[in-house]
Amino acid sequence: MKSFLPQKKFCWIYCGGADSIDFGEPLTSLVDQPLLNAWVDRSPELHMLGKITPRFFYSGRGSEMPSSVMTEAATFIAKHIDAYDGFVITHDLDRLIFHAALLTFMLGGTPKPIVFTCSPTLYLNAEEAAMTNIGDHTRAGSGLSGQLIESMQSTNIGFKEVVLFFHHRAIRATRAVYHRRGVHVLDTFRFPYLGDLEFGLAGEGKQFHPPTRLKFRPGFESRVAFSDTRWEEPQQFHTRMDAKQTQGLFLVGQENEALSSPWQGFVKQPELRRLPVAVFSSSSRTHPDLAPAFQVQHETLEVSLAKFFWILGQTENLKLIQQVMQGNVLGEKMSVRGSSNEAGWTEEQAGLSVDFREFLDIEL
Amino acid sequence: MNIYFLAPAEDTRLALRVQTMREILERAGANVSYRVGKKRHLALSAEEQALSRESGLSMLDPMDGFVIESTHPDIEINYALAQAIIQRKPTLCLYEKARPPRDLLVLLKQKNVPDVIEVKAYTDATLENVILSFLPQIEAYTDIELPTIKFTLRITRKIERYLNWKGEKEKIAKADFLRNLLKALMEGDAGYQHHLKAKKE
Repeated sequence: MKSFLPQKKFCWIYCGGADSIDFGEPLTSLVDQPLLNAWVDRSPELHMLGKITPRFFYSGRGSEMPSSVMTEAATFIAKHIDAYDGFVITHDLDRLIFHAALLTFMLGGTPKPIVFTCSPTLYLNAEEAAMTNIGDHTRAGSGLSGQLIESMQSTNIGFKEVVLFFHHRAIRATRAVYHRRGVHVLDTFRFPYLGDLEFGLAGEGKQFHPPTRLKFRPGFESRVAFSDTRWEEPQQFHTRMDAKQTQGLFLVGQENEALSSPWQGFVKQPELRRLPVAVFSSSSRTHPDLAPAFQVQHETLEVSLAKFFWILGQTENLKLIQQVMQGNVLGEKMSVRGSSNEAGWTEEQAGLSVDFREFLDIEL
Repeated sequence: MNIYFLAPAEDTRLALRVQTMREILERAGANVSYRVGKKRHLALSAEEQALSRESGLSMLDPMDGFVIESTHPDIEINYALAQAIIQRKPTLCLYEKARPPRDLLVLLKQKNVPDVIEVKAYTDATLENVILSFLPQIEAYTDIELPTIKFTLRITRKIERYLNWKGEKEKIAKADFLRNLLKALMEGDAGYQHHLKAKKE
């Protein structure tokens, strides 16, 4: 029998995510490294699961967080990958999936578990509130401490990849979607959970990525022009887009035909021909005739966008950009069953129910 | 009284004692969910399980207290103790008198570990007494437990009018008024109290 338990070393990368309350105190006061250290020191529950070292990177809303913070976090992880048994990243719910995917692509693989979690303030309707007794965070373990404990324990499930862990479930970072049901705010997109802690450790090892060495390629191109063609006309887009500054176009296509005729005409303009133009489509139909644009499908919108930002930061080779966007880099593509005429998945499943118009004004 | 009993170590030498611990808890009238070695048993109704799952709560949340055999270290023990600390759950952490889990004891001596977590050594002779003397703490916890079970009750208009009037007069929510009424009835019901006592014995 074991006579002692090896103490695991964790690094807690703080990028916000303390929106909720613990022990009745709002945690918005975690705004610098000394405050974070003090909070860890007075939280004995965290030390039950290992030695935890907090590192402050960002405090505030996810919607206002520069994505460059993820580059800093990825660089830190790459530099200290051997020093810890696992990394837990707390992050606001806003842009959580996008940033987790961006970090996944920048790291390009990992030999250690890297777990994103969040502790959002949830606005529940009366029925949900009655069901969950959410007002009592200390009992429910729903606060930041609860999510941290669970995230640290989840590293014992056995995965060695970037995951989102929230309310007992581990979700592959490149397969996550927002999905609101009660206090569950994240779900997995056509892929099993990597594991759960509902009643003791449980995980489906055969689904895990094999542990890999880091292929650290940091950086991303932020000068991406984004339009959802379901809501916007090409003329409107043209007036707000700076063609000289833009390094790539990311368009959300129409429901069944990828791009409408006016948009197909728009992307063929000579001044845009030098640019990679990705057309995200939630349909499972393929549209090979979009050139010079190319279709991206069978993955979630947020992951697709993160991958586009990342690959544009790595190369200007249009062919390579297209190959990467249409390829399965880190388990983000789902297998497609049935004929090409299959209706595809619902907007909610594909992450399209999220309003991505906020990305129009994003400052990265 | 829902108790989570955790004895993750697969130690044949301890097996009989672990079984005895579970039997002591069950004889005391507890509804025991357990993980013993690799065996798991969740003694919650399908409705309670569904509620926990849907609401995002852990299956440990409906437990009123934890009893842990912690002679041998295990990651599940540390996790359960972390949950017990954060949720302020009454927890009895047991170890064989001759084999104290030193690392765990150091962790439990940290500042801010709540008093509801008790660490006790046991021998064959003291085991039953150690466990039974801890159970009143769990019962005290269940008394202050917040109501989480949803119950739909159809009432007549006449009763509703009375509840509205009473609630307004005594400045109390109708649900609280009914809960208090039922609690008083339960406590004053000699037959039921006798039944509870017999079950405990």
